Amino acid sequence: MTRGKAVKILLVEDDAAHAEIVRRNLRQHRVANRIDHVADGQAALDYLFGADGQTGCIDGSPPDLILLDLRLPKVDGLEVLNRIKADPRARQIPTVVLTTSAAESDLVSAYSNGACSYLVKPLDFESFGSLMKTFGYYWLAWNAFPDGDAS
Amino acid sequence: MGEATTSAGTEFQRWAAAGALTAAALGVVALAGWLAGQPRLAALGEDLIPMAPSTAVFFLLYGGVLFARSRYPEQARLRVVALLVFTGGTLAAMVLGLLASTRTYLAVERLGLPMEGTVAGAPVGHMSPLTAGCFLLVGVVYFLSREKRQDRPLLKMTAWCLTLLLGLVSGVLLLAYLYGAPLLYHSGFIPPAATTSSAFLGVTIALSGRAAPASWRIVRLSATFAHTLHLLIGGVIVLGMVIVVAGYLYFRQHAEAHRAETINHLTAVAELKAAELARWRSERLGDGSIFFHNSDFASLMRRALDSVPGADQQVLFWLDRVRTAYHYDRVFFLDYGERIRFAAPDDPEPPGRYLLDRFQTLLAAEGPVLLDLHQRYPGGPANMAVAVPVADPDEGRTPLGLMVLRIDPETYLYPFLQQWPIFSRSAETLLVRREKQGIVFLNPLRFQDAPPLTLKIDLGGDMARPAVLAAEGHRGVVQGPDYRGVPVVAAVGQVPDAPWFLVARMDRAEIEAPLRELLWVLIVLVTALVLVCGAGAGLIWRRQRTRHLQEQLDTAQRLRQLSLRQEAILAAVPDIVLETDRDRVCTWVNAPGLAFFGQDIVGARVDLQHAVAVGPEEVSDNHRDEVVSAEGWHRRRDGEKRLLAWRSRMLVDDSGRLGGTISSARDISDQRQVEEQLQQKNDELMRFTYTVSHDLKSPLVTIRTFLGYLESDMQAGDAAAVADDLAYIRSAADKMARLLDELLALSRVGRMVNTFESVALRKVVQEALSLTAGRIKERGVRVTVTTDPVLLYGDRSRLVELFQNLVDNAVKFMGDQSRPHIEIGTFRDGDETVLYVRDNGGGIDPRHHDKLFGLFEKLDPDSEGTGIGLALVKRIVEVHQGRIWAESEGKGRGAAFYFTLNTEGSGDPRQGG
Repeated sequence: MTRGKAVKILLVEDDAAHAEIVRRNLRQHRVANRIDHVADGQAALDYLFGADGQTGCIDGSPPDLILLDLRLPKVDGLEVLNRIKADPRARQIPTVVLTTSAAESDLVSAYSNGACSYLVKPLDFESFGSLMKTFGYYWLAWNAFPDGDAS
Repeated sequence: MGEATTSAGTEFQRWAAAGALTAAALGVVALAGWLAGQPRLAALGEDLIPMAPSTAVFFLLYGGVLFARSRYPEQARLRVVALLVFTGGTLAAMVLGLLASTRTYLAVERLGLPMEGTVAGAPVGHMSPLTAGCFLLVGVVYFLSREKRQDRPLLKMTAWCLTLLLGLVSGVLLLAYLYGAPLLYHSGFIPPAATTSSAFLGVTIALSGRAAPASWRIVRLSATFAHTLHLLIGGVIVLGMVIVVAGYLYFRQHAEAHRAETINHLTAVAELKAAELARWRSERLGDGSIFFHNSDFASLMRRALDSVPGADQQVLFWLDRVRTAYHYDRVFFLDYGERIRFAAPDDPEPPGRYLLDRFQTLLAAEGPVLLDLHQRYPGGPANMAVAVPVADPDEGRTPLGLMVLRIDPETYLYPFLQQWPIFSRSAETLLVRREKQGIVFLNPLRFQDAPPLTLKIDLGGDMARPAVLAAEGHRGVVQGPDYRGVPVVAAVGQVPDAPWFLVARMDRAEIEAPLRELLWVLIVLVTALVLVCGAGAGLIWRRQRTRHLQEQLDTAQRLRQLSLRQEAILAAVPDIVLETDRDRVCTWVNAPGLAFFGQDIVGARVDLQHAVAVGPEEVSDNHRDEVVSAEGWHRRRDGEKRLLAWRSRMLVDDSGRLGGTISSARDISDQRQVEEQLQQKNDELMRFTYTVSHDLKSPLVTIRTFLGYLESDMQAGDAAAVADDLAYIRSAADKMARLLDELLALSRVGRMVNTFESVALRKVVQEALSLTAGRIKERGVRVTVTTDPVLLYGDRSRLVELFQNLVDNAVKFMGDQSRPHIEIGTFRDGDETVLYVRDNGGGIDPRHHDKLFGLFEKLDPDSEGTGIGLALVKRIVEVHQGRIWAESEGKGRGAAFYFTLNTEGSGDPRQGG
């Protein structure tokens, strides 16, 4: 919004309902222009780095922010986070963990794997809404990103 | 204690060897003395008897053999030599002893060496019968104390007593020598020499090494105990020496006093007798002077010679008066013509030759002359006489004749000489006169039958030394052999105004007789005291030894108890206990250790992977008590590798060096396995709770959030949105329900509610297929099942669940396969029967094989599964002690799940299907 350019978020979420909730909230608060949703870790990696001959979006139009669940089929969320942070092209993309787990071990692992933020999914409707609102303003209105073209 | 320990046995042997060596050495010295012409070496003193060459040879042989036997007791050849020597020696000693006691001496004893003469009345160079007896004793002791007789206590005791007897005899002999009063001297028998006695003492000690009671010799001694023994022996020796010296001093003093008394006595007797003799002589001359220049007697004699009647009667009366008054033997008048004219008693005996020879001289003498002791005629009786010349008083004093007063010495002189103031067996007074080159004994001898005046002795010789010395003018007390050759002590002197020399003498033997009595008393006393000393020391030693033995016994008992306790502990512990030396070679192991490693472990090098972290030599105090722990894999006797937990501690010897290690080991393989299983379960549980909280929370989040949307959508009256919201809520609730169901199923698997049974594979599969028939039919899957008669053993309902899940799974991931097919079969892989469920569906991405069986792991986010199915399968297989794995050639190329199950017993599961 500050930059006046379209914001793209990659949502990695295996639970379709949760994905819908996030999508609705972000849309409601006009946080993102575009939300790309994938349902498992492998799909997220494929989305970013390409697979089966298709090129990933990392070289074209990488997402501005990644919202990552931890418990994912096929490839675990932490592993996805690890792979993102290991790739020089994807490393600078802020990756925010959004999960139902409030376990200390998950917190520590997430941060040590390079998560920028760790958000626990609230259990009620209002909290989820305000979290998404605050999250949107913070990350997309106030937080400064490196120039996407530079990467 | 090691080298600090000595034994009384070796101590005894050392003493015995020293004793034997002493005896042999004394023999060698004596022989050398004889060979070198120095018999003093064999005698130790001027007038002591020397050791005979034969005796010396005996000591050389006996001492040498005893020494060799005590040093090399195991030498069999030496034993034979010793036996020969002692047999020969004993026989020879018997012969020599018998001969010597009958005073028969063999020349061969001198070994051809030049020796002669006598000492103390015994011939030199021959063995004393006592010595021979002692050698006999030595031989007997040797035979009695031979090793063969060890089990005959009576013989051993006899040998020991005889040894002590030998010691006593030699000790007494030696003591007598020491006190200057050697025994058996002048006894007629050859006395044993001083060196002989000493050598026998050595032999006694040497024999003690064999014959002393075994208990004296065998006890092992600690260093301090040996020290006590040395102190005791030293104390006894010192005390014994003190006693001997004290006895010696007492004896010396007493002997001196006695000798002085004897000398006084002899001197007094000699002086008194000399004075009396002088007085007697002068009285006799005085008797003679009655007739000298006596005019009345001369006139009377003149008249009588002229045969005046009555005058001869008067003369005879006179003569008889004089004779009887002065105790003369015969008083007679010898006229000028050498004829006896008047005599009292009046018998016709002619005048003696001695008188006639000196007639003219006597006739001319100026006064009465005492004719010394003489024989009237050669071979005649001894007489003295007073001769008085009688001259005519009127006619120019012409001699008329000789008045002779003959004295019979038996009347007064001899009895007087024979008198002794006290009773004495050997005391004698001798009267000698010097005569040309010798002396003549004037009075009858007490111990020789020769008549007076017949025994003459040359001045030069050794015989009758005191008499000769007296005749040569000596005065005082002298010693030497008398006319018999017997040593005497004599006081010598001269009778004043006479050619007489007086010898008042007594046998040395008699003088020393009371000393000898005292000597015996002293010897008995000293010996008794020394024996008491020795016995006291023996008692102390015995008590010490008993205490020592008691201590040893106590220690042994304590050790035994300790070892019993240790044995019990080691038998009771289930752990392996193992001892190694410093080279890590196993020296001992307990029963569990033997059971684990087998018999071969003892003597084998034990490779403890945790080498005890010390140098092999010095062990610092820090490490001494350290227990080192480690774990290592070891091959058990049956070949199985087991994990052992070791705890090792060093054994440090007294010198602080590493002596080895003691290690205990516990087989922790099972424990470790259980721990690992527990860890796995724990992990699983953690994962379970984590997942449960996450996966149950997820639908909750959905439900609550969409309830919020539902509310706002209903307010907004958006019917389509409401339906959408409700669909989400329903889906989330369904998911929750399914999750809870499957969790319940999973939790049941571990609890083994049902008992195991044998069941045919076919039946299980049929049941599973009937339960999944709906989905199979829906998807149109063709299922083929093996006809192999495989018998399974397990929880029937779980087995059904297993196949149900696998088939379910296969159907679920059949993908877009147009001719879906599931194959259930078995095959043999070695001993195992492998079962499989194979499909030709979507396959498995090989990247995700590891997550296949994880709890709540879903590979496909779109599938309706909860991620529990395959976890359940795996759990069921595990409960049946089998394993499960999946194979797939890739996405879209089908998948196969292989697993093994516990098949009944060890038999082939296909049997009896």
